[in-house]
Amino acid sequence: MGGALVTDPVLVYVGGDPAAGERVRLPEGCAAISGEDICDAARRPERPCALVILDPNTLPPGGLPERWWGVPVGLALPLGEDAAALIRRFGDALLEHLDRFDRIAVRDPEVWRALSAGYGWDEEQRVECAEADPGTLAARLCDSVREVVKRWGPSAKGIHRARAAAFERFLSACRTRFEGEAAVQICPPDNRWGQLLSRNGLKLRVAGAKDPAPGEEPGGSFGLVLGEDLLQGRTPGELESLIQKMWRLARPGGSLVFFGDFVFPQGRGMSVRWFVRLVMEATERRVLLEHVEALKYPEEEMYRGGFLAFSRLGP
Amino acid sequence: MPEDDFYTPTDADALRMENELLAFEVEFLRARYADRERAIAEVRREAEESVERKVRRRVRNATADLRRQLAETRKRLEEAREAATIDPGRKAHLERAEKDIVLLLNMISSGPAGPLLRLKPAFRELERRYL
Repeated sequence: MGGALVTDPVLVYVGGDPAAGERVRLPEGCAAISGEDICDAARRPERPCALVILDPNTLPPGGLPERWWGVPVGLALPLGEDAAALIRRFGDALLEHLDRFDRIAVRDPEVWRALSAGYGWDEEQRVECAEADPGTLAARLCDSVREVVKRWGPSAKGIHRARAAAFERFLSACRTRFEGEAAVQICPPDNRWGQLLSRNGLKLRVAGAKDPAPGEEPGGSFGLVLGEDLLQGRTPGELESLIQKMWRLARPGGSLVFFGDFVFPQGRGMSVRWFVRLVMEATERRVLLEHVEALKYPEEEMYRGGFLAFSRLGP
Repeated sequence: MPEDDFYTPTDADALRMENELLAFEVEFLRARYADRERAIAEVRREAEESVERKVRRRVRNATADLRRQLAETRKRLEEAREAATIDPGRKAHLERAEKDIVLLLNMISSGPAGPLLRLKPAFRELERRYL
C-alpha cells in the first residue's frame, strides 16, 4: 500500500520565479518548488507528506494538479485583498477544494470570517500570520500541515476525499430523501463530515458509544446515521451493540451509512460479507442493503475501502 | 457470531480480501441491475397496457359517435321521406294560399302604402320571400 510517510518532506511552492526559492528561508525538512515544476513533481512517483503554497498568484493555469489534493495543503492567501476579490481569483481553482485537512493563512479577521462562513472552514484550520515575512509564514504553514499529518496520518486526507466523493454521489442520488433532515455520526474522531453534510442540507450531530449519552437526541429521529471506521479496535460484540444503537437512532426509512476498510495487510480485520451479516443479525434483519461501493484510495493499488448503506425498515 | 470471525491475514490474504470486497460489490450491483431490469419491464408492460386501454376507449367512443350519427341521419331521412309523401289535397291548398299571398303583396306594394310599409323590415322580408 502506497502513500507518503510522516517523515517525507513538505513541498513549498514559493512562486513562479525559480530564484524565489533562494530568497525564502525554509524550515528543515521542507523543499522549495517553483513555476511549472509543481506539475512535473505531481507526475513523479514519490510524494511529499504535505504541500504549502506561499504564492497562489503564480500557480500554473488550472490550479493544482489533482494529485496534490490528496495531501494536506497549507495556503497563504495574498494580503490586502477582500474576501470577494479572493473568491473571484482563487474560488474555483483553490478555495473550493480546501477541506478539513487543509490549513489557510489569512491575516485579516474579516476576510477569514467571510471565507470560513462561505466554505465551511473551522477555526482550527486558520493559521495566524501577523508577519509578512515569507520565511516565518512558510514555517508556520509547514508546522500546521505537519501537525495534520501527525494527527491523522499521511493518507488520511486522500482516504477522506475518496470516501467523500462516494458519499457525495450517494447523497446527490437520494437528495430529496434527506431534505431538511438531521444526520448523526456515531463515535466520530472529529467533525470531518460536517462540511460535506451541511453542503447537502444536513446538520451533523454526534453520538457516543454509550446509550443514551447525556444531552443526546432521542432515537428514531435521524434521516442518516453515519459510522466511520467502526471495525478498528472493536470486538464483534462491541460492534454489534454500536450497530444496534445506530439502528435505534435512525428513523424508519432512514439510512445507516458505514465507511470502513475491509482489506488489511497487517493486524486484524473483518470481511465485508461478515460485516453485512453482522449488521443483519444486529438489526434482526430490519435493514435493507441499498448501496455497496468498493473504494480505492489515492496512491494505492488495491481497493480496500468499502462504503455500505442500509435502509432502516420497521417502526 | 463467534469472537474469532476477524481476519488475521498474511500479505497474500490481502488479495483474497480485495477479491472478496470487489466480488461482493459486483454481486450487489448485479442484483440491483436485475431489480432495475424487472422494474423497467414492469413499467414498460404497464405503459403498453395503458396505451392499449386508451386505444380501446377511443375506438369505443368513435364507434358510439358513428352509431349516434347514423341514427340521426336515419331520422332526418325519415322526416324527408314523410315530407315527400304529403297529401295531394293539402298540397293544392298550400299552393293556392301562396298564390293569394303573392297577389295581396303585389297589390299592397304597388299601392300608395307600399313605400311606407317598405320601411318595416318584416314587410321587406315578405316581399323578398314571395315576389
